[in-house]
Amino acid sequence: MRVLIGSPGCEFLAGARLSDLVAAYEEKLADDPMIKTLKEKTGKSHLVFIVNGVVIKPEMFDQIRLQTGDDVRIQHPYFGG
Amino acid sequence: MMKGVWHKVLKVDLSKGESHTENVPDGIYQYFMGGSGLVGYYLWKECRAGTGPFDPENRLIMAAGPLSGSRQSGAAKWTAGAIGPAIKMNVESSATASWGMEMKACGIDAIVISGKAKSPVYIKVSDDGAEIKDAAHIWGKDAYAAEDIIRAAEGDKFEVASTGIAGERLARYANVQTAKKSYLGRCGLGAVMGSKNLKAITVHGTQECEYYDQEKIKELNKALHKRMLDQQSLKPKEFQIAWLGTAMATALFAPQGNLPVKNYSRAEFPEGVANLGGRPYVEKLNAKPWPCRYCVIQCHNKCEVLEGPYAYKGKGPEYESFAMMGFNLLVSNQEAVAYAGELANIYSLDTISLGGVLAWAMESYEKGVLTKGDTYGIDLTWGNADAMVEMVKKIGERTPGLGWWLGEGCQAAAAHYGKGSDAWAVAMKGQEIAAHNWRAQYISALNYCTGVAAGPNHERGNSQHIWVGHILLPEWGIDHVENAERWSWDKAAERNAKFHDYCNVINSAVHCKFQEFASYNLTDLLGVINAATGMEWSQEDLRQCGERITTLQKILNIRYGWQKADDFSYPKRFMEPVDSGPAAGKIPLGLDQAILDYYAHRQWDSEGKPTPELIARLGMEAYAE
Repeated sequence: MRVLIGSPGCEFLAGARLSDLVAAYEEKLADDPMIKTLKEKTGKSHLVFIVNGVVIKPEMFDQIRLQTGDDVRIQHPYFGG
Repeated sequence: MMKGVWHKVLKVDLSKGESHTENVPDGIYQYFMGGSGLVGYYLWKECRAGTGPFDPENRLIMAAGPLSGSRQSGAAKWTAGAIGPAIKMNVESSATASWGMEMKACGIDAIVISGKAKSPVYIKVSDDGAEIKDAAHIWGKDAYAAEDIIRAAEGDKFEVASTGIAGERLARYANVQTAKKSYLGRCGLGAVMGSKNLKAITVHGTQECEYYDQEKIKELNKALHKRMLDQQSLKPKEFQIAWLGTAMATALFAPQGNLPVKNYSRAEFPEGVANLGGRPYVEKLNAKPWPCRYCVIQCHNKCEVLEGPYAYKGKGPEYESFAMMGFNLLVSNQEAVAYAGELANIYSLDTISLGGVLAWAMESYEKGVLTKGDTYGIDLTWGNADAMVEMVKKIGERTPGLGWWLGEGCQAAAAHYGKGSDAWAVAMKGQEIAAHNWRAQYISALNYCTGVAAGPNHERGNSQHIWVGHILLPEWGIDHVENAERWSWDKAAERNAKFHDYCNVINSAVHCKFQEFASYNLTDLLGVINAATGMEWSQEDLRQCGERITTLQKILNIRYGWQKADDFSYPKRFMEPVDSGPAAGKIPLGLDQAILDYYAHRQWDSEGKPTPELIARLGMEAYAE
């Protein structure tokens, strides 16, 4: 099941939790210099996950089940330039 | 017929003192949409080969787009263009606030200004058309004072775009301000105004352009604005745009090696990271949100330094100002950088080029090319905040000597002062390089070398955002990158081309690229374009529109004298590695081949010119020269 069009093209089984996707994405970004610094300084990546146009609060990550065709976007904390 | 536009432009001939409106065929909008596309079209139509930037025959074009007036966050932008004084080819720049929407409310999509007035004037545009008015009493005033005087005379409903003393005196990177907070910053359009004896253009209208589906626009805006606000609210305060503006970028760019430090010769400046941007911005500069109309992200800030030599109240510096006037000059005093930036705004100097020329001057002073005899006695050492402020005044006033030469740009100054100082002139095609370090992501090098909309430019093609901001274009096939690809040329040609085309559709629509940092994406953009225009475009239609505009800009580059060698005459500094930081040892080797690969990807020939096959594929035979 390919659910992502706004982030790395990971494959997930239908019904996977959003939290699985979040974990996979954060792992993929482990060496990203900006995310690494943010985690060192604040303990968090501060990524925002948006599913089908709805911003998902972190406490909901476990409750969202991904389905084929879902539009998942990931917003990084950066701004400017 | 495409909706969301008037199919009309206002033509003003300053030599003759005449104005009239002109109908624009629907096909032009279907081809080039508006904004940047309309700027390119009118240069193509009216500004022949051999026209110099300060010739009366040069056109200055201010253009809105189909989204102007749609009340969507980000749709307050407007675009302007001309043959630019620094690069001497077609250029453009964008500003925001409310000027573009007011112009469109006058029942026109653009103002096309030609000729040169016999004495200083400003142009007043309303529902009734244009009036050319005497500006003798405003000439010699700074840009903000000019706005105040015109508003007092015409009424507060009028929005003003004005240039300051640097524009009057033809500094090649003089800008145009509006509302004391937004600028046609790059490419010297203020000097084009100065060359025409044009101090300002003021606009106010009451007409509403008909959209294809107004209800759909409202529905899209409501959902979009909620989403953008929701995602902002999840961020901690130190990452909230309304609180920090673009100043937050310095702290996030440092770990990427993206900042310009000491004229791009060093990798790190810890005092800068500690003092420039982020929390100190709010605490020391008392920054408060100062939003553009309808914008929910609110990145502009009003600042106030309460006391000391750098006391001021006004526009807060953007990331580029902090980077180019702070990091690039090793000035870590935040109040000084903010004050110097606002001084530049008042004179009408682009802070990106200004930071570039000051860095060249400081390095020249360090290396003995310049002495106190050249600098009016100013001790132009790295990190000397007072010296920076004094030199801004000399450049803004166009004081004979170094001040005048620095207003010509660092390449011209290097050619004048010689002694090998061209080696540290970080510019190409006559224009200084903005604050994205080629060593941090090689695609920046490709972007600057091959830009066609405004020469080397960080936001007429913003492919650096792939890495520095994790902005992707999944709708156009860019949905996955690895961090290590920062230093790879694989896929760089395709990605860079798509980001150029992306910027062209944004700048033609006309919309604000910063919305992308708050979740705005190509699906959002296409949705509102279709609702506004009724075009029923697909994402591929939208991308092709961008490609047509890029191709038109390239045709214009060639018309105005671009040579293949220009793309390969990049600053030597970026081929010198830095020995510390995240980009230690990285230099964009292979850039020459990457440029040739980009030509091929674009369907340009080996000389960098559009092939007949490209022209045929885009149906642009009528525009080929």
